[in-house]
Amino acid sequence: MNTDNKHKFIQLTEPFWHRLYNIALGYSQDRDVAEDWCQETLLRAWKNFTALQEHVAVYAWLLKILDRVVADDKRRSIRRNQIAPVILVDDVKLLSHPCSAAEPFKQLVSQQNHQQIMLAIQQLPDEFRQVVLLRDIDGLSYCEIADILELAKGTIMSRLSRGRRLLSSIIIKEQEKLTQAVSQHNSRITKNDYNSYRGN
Amino acid sequence: MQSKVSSENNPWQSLHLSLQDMLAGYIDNELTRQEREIIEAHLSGCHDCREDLLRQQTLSLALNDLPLKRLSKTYHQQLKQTILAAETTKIKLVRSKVTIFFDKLGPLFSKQNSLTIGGWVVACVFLVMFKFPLSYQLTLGNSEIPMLTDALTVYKQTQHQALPKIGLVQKDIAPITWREGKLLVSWSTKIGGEPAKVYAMRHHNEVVLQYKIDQTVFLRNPIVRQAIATQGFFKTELDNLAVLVLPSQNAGIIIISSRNLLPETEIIRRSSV
Repeated sequence: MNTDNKHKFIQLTEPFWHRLYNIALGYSQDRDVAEDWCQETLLRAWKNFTALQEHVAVYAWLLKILDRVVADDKRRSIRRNQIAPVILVDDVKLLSHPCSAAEPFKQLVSQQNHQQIMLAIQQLPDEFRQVVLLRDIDGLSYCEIADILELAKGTIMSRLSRGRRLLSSIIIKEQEKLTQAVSQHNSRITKNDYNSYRGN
Repeated sequence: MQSKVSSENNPWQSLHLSLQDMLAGYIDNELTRQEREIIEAHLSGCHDCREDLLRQQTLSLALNDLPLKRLSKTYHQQLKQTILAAETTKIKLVRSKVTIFFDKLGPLFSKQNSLTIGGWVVACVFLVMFKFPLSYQLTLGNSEIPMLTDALTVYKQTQHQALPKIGLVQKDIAPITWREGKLLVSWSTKIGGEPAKVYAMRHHNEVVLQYKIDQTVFLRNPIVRQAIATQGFFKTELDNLAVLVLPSQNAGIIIISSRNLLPETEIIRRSSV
């Protein structure tokens, strides 16, 4: 392994470092963890650099390694084989919420900031989160994602449909929690105001 | 709503269920013409699927519009340095007196005899190792010990940049101390995928790094395990650096220093207490 090779490796991979980090952040909001994963991915990629063939898309190759790095790390801390919940389009709870209709939902999503959306994504089970990140955040095609995750294109499509549906329900639920918390807080303030008024 | 008219055997209902998994493909234009036509026909009569489609579309657009989070300039630079410093570290170990002894005996054993006397040889090796805990080190050839590779990467990072300022605690005490060693700074890292702590010690005019690592990582490698069991420590050289691995209370310690700078006797004496 000579220095020329290393420079070649850096030259090839560097344009994708930020995108890689962005995806890593989708798996963990902790910047240090995301940075660690990026570093581990690049070091593993460097170790296997000779195995990289010219025709392979470098970014897809890096994402494949990142996927393994994250899985290896998560295997230690989280249950891996969790069963992903499936929400149907006619889920009663989802439909009963006023924000589930097209327009209110659009408004709700537009009010979410970056952090809120990323936190919602992190609540998705791994298999849904992978596809949502690669398709909606990173803009890869179904074929590219299928190649990276080594899955059939149809599986990517169904996971994405289910993942987006689950993400919608998570965002709606989070909004509901927030509304409840605010109304509880307001009622507490009103009670205190009333008590202090009576005290006076 | 039509979708509420449900019976498990209703063909409309089963179509409704299977098409739900294709809605993402419809939005992303990943369907064949025929599939699109089926979906469109279904959408015209299914309010719930139409609503879901709109929600998915909204979400997809919103996620697409999220700004790209970039690596900080400092970390970007650091990453580059790490890659430049990274090597496929080959572990060259000093061959033990025991293995050299058996190497010399090698020609005495013919192929025919080797099978029958193999068991005796193994028994003798174990006997020698347990009876005489010599300062032996096994030959690894080109294999690697991941925890040492990780520790070495951290060591090399500190050569290319100032020591991290975070975690400087006056009261912090390094697990292994010696008279000339002064703790400069400590910080957290990961060794073997588990959290670890690094202590940078000034020793004369150089920096010696001490790592307090997870016990499971520490005992993961059989060669290290065997060395610890027989002689209480594991010592090797990596990229012209001295590496010493020692057990500690519920943890493992790795020490990396320049080749001639390892405060060997003192540390080994303390570690055996």
